[in-house]
Parts: sequence; structure tokens; C-alpha cells
Amino acid sequence: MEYAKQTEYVKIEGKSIGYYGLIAAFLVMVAIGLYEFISGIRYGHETFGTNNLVPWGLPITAVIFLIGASAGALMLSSLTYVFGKEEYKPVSKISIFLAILLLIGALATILGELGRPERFMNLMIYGPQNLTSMFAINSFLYSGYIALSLVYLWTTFKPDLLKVTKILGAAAAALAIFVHAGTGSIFGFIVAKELWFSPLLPVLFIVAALTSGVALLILILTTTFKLTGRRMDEKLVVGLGKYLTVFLLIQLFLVFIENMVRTYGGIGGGEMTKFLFSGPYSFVFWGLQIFLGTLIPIGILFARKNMFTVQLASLLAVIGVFAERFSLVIPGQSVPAQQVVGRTIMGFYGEPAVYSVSGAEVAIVLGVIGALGILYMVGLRMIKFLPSRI
Amino acid sequence: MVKYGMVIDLDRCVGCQACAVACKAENSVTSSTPEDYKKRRLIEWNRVITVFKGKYPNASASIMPILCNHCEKAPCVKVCPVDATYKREDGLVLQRYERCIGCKYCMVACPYGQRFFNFYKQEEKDYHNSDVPPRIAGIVEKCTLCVHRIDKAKAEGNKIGSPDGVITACAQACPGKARIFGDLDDPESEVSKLLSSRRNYQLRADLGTEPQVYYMD
Repeated sequence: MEYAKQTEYVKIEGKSIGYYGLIAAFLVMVAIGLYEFISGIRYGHETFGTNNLVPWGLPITAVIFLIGASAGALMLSSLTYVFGKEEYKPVSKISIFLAILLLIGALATILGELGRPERFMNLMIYGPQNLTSMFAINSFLYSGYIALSLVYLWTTFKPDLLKVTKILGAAAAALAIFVHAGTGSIFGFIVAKELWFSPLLPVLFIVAALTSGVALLILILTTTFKLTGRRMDEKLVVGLGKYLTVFLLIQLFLVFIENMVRTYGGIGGGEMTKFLFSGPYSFVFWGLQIFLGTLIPIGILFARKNMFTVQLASLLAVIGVFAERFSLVIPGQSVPAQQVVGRTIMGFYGEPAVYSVSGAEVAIVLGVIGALGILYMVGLRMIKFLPSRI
Repeated sequence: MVKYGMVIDLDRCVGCQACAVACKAENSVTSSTPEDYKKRRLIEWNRVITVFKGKYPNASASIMPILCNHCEKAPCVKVCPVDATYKREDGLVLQRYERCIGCKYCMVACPYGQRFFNFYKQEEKDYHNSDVPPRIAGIVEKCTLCVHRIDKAKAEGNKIGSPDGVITACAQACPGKARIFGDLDDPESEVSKLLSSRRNYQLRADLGTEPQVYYMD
């Protein structure tokens, strides 16, 4: 019978000490984050590590990471619902749920980073007046994306809407590509920054989104399955690991091409590229992004693919993608641009600004992650997301 | 059409920073501490930098006062998601402070680093200029080319522009008369005459921003 093959979904019990303990831990994170957020509104961003040269710090890095992971997770769910790969069905529903949560988390982080968060509705009111701004376009893309994903998730619960699910899944995956290309364009369109101004950036963002999406999904799902006493199918994880290998290879290639162009030379005199390769953040680029976050996971995945190695490679890939985001956002802003072509600025005004991550920014990012954790756990308890197979 | 701009004659600039001080006083720009200096949080709508080329003994350097370039195709106007930064008809790039959400996108988009974020709670002081609107913490501010003076002169029907009209605070304070302010579209104005008589350049014209502040050296 056809129905015998269908995956059954259940809610989790959610009454154990571990469940409430985790929720309590997440609540503490949310409380600290909220405290920093409110003091940011009251006294300004004085506790942040940002300055006038590096106005975007860790929160923006986290935002583009979260949006990327969200877009990647949503594109992965299309494996089941659009391309009909039934073997990924046990994890597809939850990956849509995660995609929605991660994007909400990204929006919350943006809110935590704004100088005047209480005016965020201005984006909706005045946004349409200036559609040359990627932020304005994105605010509509993101809200559309959340709405579409919610409907898409709802239809996956209705077996008689299979065709609608397929169409919505394809539409949502396409929108996810635009959402993340739009996020890449925030940086790719900025002519002032040598490291950002590149048509390749939106593409690189999409590939990095897939990498971080798959890797984060593997990590979260294997942990969830373990904590709820379910057995994760090794074949499924290894299958996702194969996708991860491909995405990592494409990402490495694109990073290579991009940096070849930068080294070859272009607008801006190459100061920022030099800063990326040998400045104070070069260990993030060479050590975390290239070596730990790309080369080692590729090596691990080529050597052997099993439950443990794929999990390890996923963890490293998540670190690598985060490092990639960091080494784009921070070194990209640090060096003051030349004012007269071919002439260096002397002294204080020409020195690169070194950004150091502050406690307030970490607290805001962790607070958002805590809130996402709570929403995720409550969601698992209220809605039938997890497969019943033990 | 009117298009206000400035010509800075670097031959006349002595690097005395009088323009930087005059600007701070005129526009009630918040003061900074040595701590802010270390953290690179200074708010300076006007500042004087030195640019150089080559190595000793074949080096050349010039002192340059820099301010917002009020670009024709301003990157900051393009990226503002709430339409807070706008290009006024008379060529000024201005900002609606009450609308700014503090996303700082304009700061990363400006190639000249002429946008400043208010990191601290801003206090009203007695000596603040009452013509200039106060700014609160958490928003971005920038040079207005002394729009309050221009608007006042327009309302009262006074002449605007160097040498004998209403000019910006920085141009007024300059002891060497290095800054010349006026209407770039008026062929009879002093700025237009200077621009047509001597070789001049704009900062980072290669980026296609079309600044309205010209330099001569």
C-alpha cells in the first residue's frame, strides 16, 4: 500500500527536566539580550564595538548568516516537495519550520542593531519611496518570504494539497534565492568598498547559504533526534553530506575566483585586499574560513562519510561560513577609502579601524539565538513536525 | 536651476582647522572625548586630512579640508531605505532626522566617510545654535552645507554665495579664503568663474558620484 511508506509525524512530549532546563537556559540568554537591547535604546550604542569607520559589526554578520541558513534550509526542503526525493521526507517539514524561524531571528537581530528600533515601521511606510535601496527592497522580500513559507508549511500538513505544495515549494525556493541574492546585493552594490563591490557576491551568498543551510540543518536535526530518543537514518545524513561536499567545493571555487580578481587589481588601490590578506583579521580569513571551514571539511568528507564525520564537517562548515561573513563585513569596512586616487591619507585618518567584538553585541546575538531555541522547542511540542519512526 | 557647491583652493589652505571648529560651533555638533578619538567615534562634519604620494625625497603632500561632497548621484541617497536622506532641488544632500532608523547603510555606502552616527545620548546645551535642529542618539547625521543659513537668506531675499552673499560657516571662518561657496549653475558666480579659469578636480570622481565640491591645487 502506498500509505505504508508515508512518514507519520508526531509532537514531542516536552515534559522532561531536560526540556524545561533548556528552555530556562534559553530564557536567560533572551533576558541578557533584551537588557542590552533596551539599554541600547535608552543610552545609544555606546557599549557597542562599532565606530564611524566600522558602523556594522557582529550583529550584521549574524544577520546575513541567519538569512543564508534560512534560505539554504528552505531550498533543501524543495528536495522532497518539488523534486520528489522521498528519502529526505523525515526532515523536510522541520527544515521549512527552521527556515521560517531563522529568518525571523535575522529580522530580530536587525532590530537589535538599528539605532532607532522603534521606528522600524518607517521601512514599510517610506520604503516604497526609495526602491533603489536594497534594504527597502529586502524588507518586502523578507516579509513576502515569511508569508509564503508559512503557507507552504501549512500545505505540507494537508496530504490532499500535494500539487499545491509542489508549486508553493518551487515558488518558495525561488524566492529564497532572490532573498539571499538580495542580501548579497546589500554589499555587492556598494561602490565605496573594494571588497564588497562585486557582481559575484550575490552568487557567492547563495552558495554559502546552501552550505550553511545544509550544515546547520544536519547539526540541529541530529541533535534534536538524539535528544528526543529518535534514531537518525545514517543514509539520510550521508546523503545530505554529499550535498554539503558539492556546496563546499563550489564555494571554495567562487572564493578563489573572487580573490583572484581582487589580487589582480581594480578600483581602490588594493589597500582593502591587502588588509584582508595580512591585516589583523587575516587569521579569520586564512585560518577559520579557508583552512578550518572549507579545506578540512572537504578533506573529511572525501575521506569518509558516516554519521560522525558528516556531523564534524557540518560543524566546521558552519564555522567557515560564519568566518566568511565576518571577513567580508568587518575587513571590508575597516580601511578608510582613498580620497584622491593614488594618494594615501596620512596619519590618523588613514589608519584602519580595528573593530573588537563587544559584550553588548554578543548578548544581542545570543539573545536572538535563545529566542529561536525557545520557539523551536515550543514548536516541536505544539505541532507535529518530527517523524514518529524511532 | 540653482546648484549650491563649493570650490576649495588648496593653494590658500594652511591647515589651521578653523573650518572644523567653526562647523562644530555653527551646527551644534556634539563634542568628543579622547576616548572617542581612540575608538574612532569622532563626529566631524568638516575635517582636514593630509594626503601624500611617493617616498622621501620624492614625496609630495597636500593638506585637504574635506566635507560632505553633496554628490549629484549620492550613494547615501540611493541606499536610504526610509527616504530619510534626499537630494534637495538646490543640490543639497539633506537628511530628515525624525525619519532615520539608524540602519547605518548610508555610512557604509559613502566613499568619503562623511556620515556620522550618534553613539551617545545627545544633550541640549545653552550654547547650541537654535537654528539647527537637534539630533538624538541612534541616528546618522551629516554636513548640511549650512542649510539654515541658505534658507534664511532665501526667505529674507538676501544674496547667497561668495564673495558678498551669505556663505557657510566654514567658508566664513577660513582665514585664507580657501573655501568659496556659491551657485555652480550660475555662470556669473565666483565658483563658476574659478572653475572655468583653473584646473580642478573632485574627490574620487572615478566612483561616479559627481561631487559638488571641487578642489584646485
